[in-house]
Formats: sequence, structure tokens, C-alpha cells
Amino acid sequence: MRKLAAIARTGLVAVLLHPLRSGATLLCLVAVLLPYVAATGVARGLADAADTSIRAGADVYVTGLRFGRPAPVPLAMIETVRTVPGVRDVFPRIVGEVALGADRIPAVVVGVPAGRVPDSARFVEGRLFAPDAGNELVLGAELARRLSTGVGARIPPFYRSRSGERVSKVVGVFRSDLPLWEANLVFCSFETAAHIFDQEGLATSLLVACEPGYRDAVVAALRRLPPPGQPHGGTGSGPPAPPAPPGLPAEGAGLPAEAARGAEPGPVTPVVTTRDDLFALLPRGMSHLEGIFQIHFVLAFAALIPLLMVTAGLGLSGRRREAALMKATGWMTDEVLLQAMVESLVLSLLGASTAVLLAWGWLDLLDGSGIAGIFLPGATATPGFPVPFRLGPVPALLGFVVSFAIVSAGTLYSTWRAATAAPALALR
Amino acid sequence: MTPHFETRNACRVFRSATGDVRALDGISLAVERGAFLAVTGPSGRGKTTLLALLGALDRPTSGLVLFDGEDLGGASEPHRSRVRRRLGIVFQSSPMIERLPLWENVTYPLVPRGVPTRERRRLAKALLERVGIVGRDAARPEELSGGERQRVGVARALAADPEAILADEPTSDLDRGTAEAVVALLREFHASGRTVIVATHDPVLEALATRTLRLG
Repeated sequence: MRKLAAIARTGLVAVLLHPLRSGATLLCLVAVLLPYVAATGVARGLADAADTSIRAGADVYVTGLRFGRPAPVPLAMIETVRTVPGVRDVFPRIVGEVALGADRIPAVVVGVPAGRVPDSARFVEGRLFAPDAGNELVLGAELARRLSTGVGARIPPFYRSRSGERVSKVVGVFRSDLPLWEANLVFCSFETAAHIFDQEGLATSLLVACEPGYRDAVVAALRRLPPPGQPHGGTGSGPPAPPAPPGLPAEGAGLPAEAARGAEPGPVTPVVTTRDDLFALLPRGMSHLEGIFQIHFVLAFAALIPLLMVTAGLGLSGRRREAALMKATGWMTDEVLLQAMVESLVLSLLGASTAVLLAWGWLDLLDGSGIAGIFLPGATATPGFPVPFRLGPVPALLGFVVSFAIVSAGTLYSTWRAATAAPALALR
Repeated sequence: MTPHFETRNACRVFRSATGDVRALDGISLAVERGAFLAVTGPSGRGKTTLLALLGALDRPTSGLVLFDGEDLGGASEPHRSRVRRRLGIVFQSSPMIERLPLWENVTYPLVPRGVPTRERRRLAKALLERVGIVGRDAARPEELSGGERQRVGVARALAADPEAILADEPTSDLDRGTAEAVVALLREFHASGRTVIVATHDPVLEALATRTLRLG
């Protein structure tokens, strides 16, 4: 054991003895590992953020299908859903996309009834939208930055509506340390969202909270529901449209009769999605993005392998002489190889640690500039908001193992060649 | 009694682009344990090659090289390494691991034997003092003159307390005073009953030898 420790120590010293070789190898390793560690860190961070969002969300989501494609659900369904035994609460939500400003910056509009703002959305600079005020918006920090706007600013009409367009007022901006989901967000009341999209009486989804232990029963009951009636007429195959819930406009309110008739669609097929369904979908989505990145990374990595092997074998003649001298003074071939292996191990460990450290700096201090956009469609090269990330041990360990394999291959082969040659020839 | 070192019609031919070079041509000799052999002769007559064969640093092209009666030419590499551990070899070019402190260089042969670092450092300091390098055990090989390197090479050969020393021109780069110190070390080593084989042009060493082999 003492002998192994003594040889290992010389391997450690060898890293310092050859600064050029060690430095070049480290540089190559970090160049290869850094994007990999950073990207997997972002992917895992996003997965965590999505997981948190799902946990904080509803037990069950009811959306609609028409022509086999997502369609809004009529608000008439709210009362129907509320009558299902085990349902504790239900409210509608609108999620849609708009483009803002001269640069047509894409943003996601989320509208919920005033009393249903989630706790995680309460951390704003300014205030949240008032229950009765129209077109009061709370913007994500990144969106506010890109629009060069802030609390108190007014946004000219950016939509077309049959009930007329209005100037919107920015009443709040989400604090920038909130999850990135709020970065390009326009948060507003349900009524404002319905007005922006000109879809009165409709929601993109209904969020259902269940009594403890009732979720499966609620889901089964919801899946047995017949398609609801038309959103504006109540003459479809579903239950008759109940009065609109408090705080919500009556169905069809404010719409010209002809326009309502002209827009009258057929019944919507309800689609019930549980929290577990979302959890099941999450890894698939993240794996897809991660997979695309990893294919590109593997190609780049393959191209770098020869370079890394050459770098690891830098100073070949010096290594050859050293190995010959060691052999001449009584070292065994396996002892010379052990020393080289320790040297490779130390370099790989240093490379992987440096890559993890730099990845942390890249993601935490530089907000993942340049790499976050791969995983966040719509994010700019310099996101300007904290990109969620988690630097887990698995990518770091994998990076270390791969580095060790490559550096060893470069080092051990040249050392073995030198150690098995006649020392007298190598020392001439 | 089995000779400590023996060669039987040993040949070593080096192949090169300009043709084969016969560095050693059918040498036969036997060196008894405890002998002091001086190998002399003009340059290029195979003194270094003979030492390399006897020190298991090279294999003969033909013929036999024996150590304690065992054939070194056909021996496995681990066996040859074990033989080298029993020998102290002084190289003419004084190769060292650059940037490694002298004390580490001197005791590098002891690393695979698991000798503790503190013990190695203490031993190196004593050996370096014996070859006239005092207070410079932390110096780097690059800082040494040719003669100093030669003396560090002698100290390294002595570090593992070998049973024989094979020295290639150990006094060639040294001034008279230092050369005498090295000669004294070899004499002391030989006096302890161990074998010394030196390739040399130095008449002092030749005079010290119990036997002389002249090549060429």
C-alpha cells in the first residue's frame, strides 16, 4: 500500500512537472466538458422548475378538442364540473400567445380570475391587477426589459377585438429571481385575457382541485361527461349553460348576435389531464431537447478526441526518456504505467472539476448566455433572467469518466511503448 | 563458483539506414562477485554497449549475457527489472527527470519500494553530501553543471544500496578534486565486497581496478 501511495504521489508530481502538457490537456478537457455539463445542468434545472410548477398547479385540467386539435372549453362547463362529487374548486384559465412591440416580441398571456392568483405569482414590483380594472397587466422581468417598459407605463393596443381595443397599463413587473416561466409572461385578469383574444365565454382550460382521495373518481366522472353545448347558444348536446360564475362575464355577453351566430361552433370534446399525466409527459419533453443537444455534443466530442489524445501525448520524447530512466533504475513496466494512470486521473479530475465550476459560473453569473436558448425557445442569447439549473453529480461523474478514458488512452499508450522499449535505446 | 556477470560470445548489432553497425562483436567474459573491472579502449568500441547488456538495459543480438548464472537476454521484462533493482547504474549522459528536485531524482529508484518520502529525503541529502553537493538537494537538474549532474548520477546509483555498480565514464566530466571523491566512493563500495564495473579512460580508475578489459 505504501508502495502504491509513493508511486501515486509521483504521478501527482508529474502533473506539475509538465505544465505545458498538463495545461493543454486541461484546456481541451474543459472545452469539451463545459458545454456538456452546462447544458445538462440547464436541462435538469428546467425539469425541476417544471416539476415545481406541476406540483403547485391543479389536480386535474380540463381542456377541449375539436377536429382532434386543442380547442377552448366553454365556461358553461364550470358548473357541470363543480357538481361532480369530490370536486372542491374549479376555475377557468386562458393561456395564449401574443406579439408585443415593434419587434413583435413573443409573449405568453395568462389570465386567471382575480381571486385565483397563485402564491408564487405574488412577488411583483408594483402590484397585481385589480379585480375590476380592465387591461391591467403584470409583465415578466425579461419581457419588461425587452420592451423597455416598467411599472406605470402604458402599452398601446396590440390586439384586435370586436368589443374594441384598449390601451393597457403595466401595473407590476415580476421580480427577476422568480422562475423563468414568468420571464416572457403577460399576467392579467381572466376578463382582460378574454378581451385580448376576443374569446368571451371561453377558456383554454379549467383547473380543478379535488378533495383528498377523490381525484380518480373525479377524473372518471369528468371523462364520462358528454360534450358541452355550444359556448354561445347552449343548444348542444351538453348540459344547459348555467349562469356565469361570479366575477365572470355572462356567455355571449357583449357580442353582436350575428357575430355570435357566425362563430357558433360544434360541441367540444373534453380532455381530462391529471397532474400525474403531466409528470409522465415531462421527462419525454426534456429528454427530447437533451437528446438533440447530446447528438450535437457527441459529434463535437468525437471530433475533439484525436486532439485530446495528441495533447495528452504532448512531450512524447520527454515522456519516453523519463520512462526509460525509470525502467533503468528498477521500476517495473506496470509501476511506470500506474504513475501515468495517476497523472491521467488527476488531470481528468481537475478537468471535470474546472468544467463544473465554470459551468456554475456560466449559468449562475452569466445566466447561461449562449446555451440557455437551446432549451428555452424564445430566449435570447443573453437571457437576462436567472436560468434554472441543477449541476447534478451524474453529468460531472460521466464527464470525469469519459475524460479519464480519453486522457488515459493518450497517455498510457505512449508510456507503455516507452516502458517496453530497451532503456538503453531510449536513453541514447 | 557462478560468476556475478558473464557474457558468452555476446554480439550487439544496431540497424541503421546506412547499414548494420556491429557495436559489440563476440565478447566473452566472466566477472566474479566482488571484482573491480575496468573496461577501457578507444571511443566507439562498445564499452557503453557492454555495460548496457550487463545492466539488463539492452538485449544482445546473439550470444548470452548472464547475471548470477541466469540468462538476461531471454528473460522476461519483469525479471530484467528485478535484476536492475539489484544494480546501480551510472550513465555517461547523466539523464535526470527535469524540473524534479535533486533529492527526488537521487532516490527515484526507491519509490517503487515504498520508502517513505522523509526517509528518501534524508538519504538523498546524505548521498549528495558524499558526492560533494551540499545544501542543494532542492535544486533542479537544469541548474547543475555537467560535472554536478555526473555526481548526482553517482549518488542515484548508490541510493538503492545495490550489489554491483556499473558506471559509464563516471569521472569524465569532473575536475580532479571531485573525480577523486567519486573514485573514493567507488573504492569504498568495492571494499565492502561488492562488484564494480566501470567503462573509463581515467588512469586512476584503471589503476584501482582488479582487472582490466580492453576493447578494440
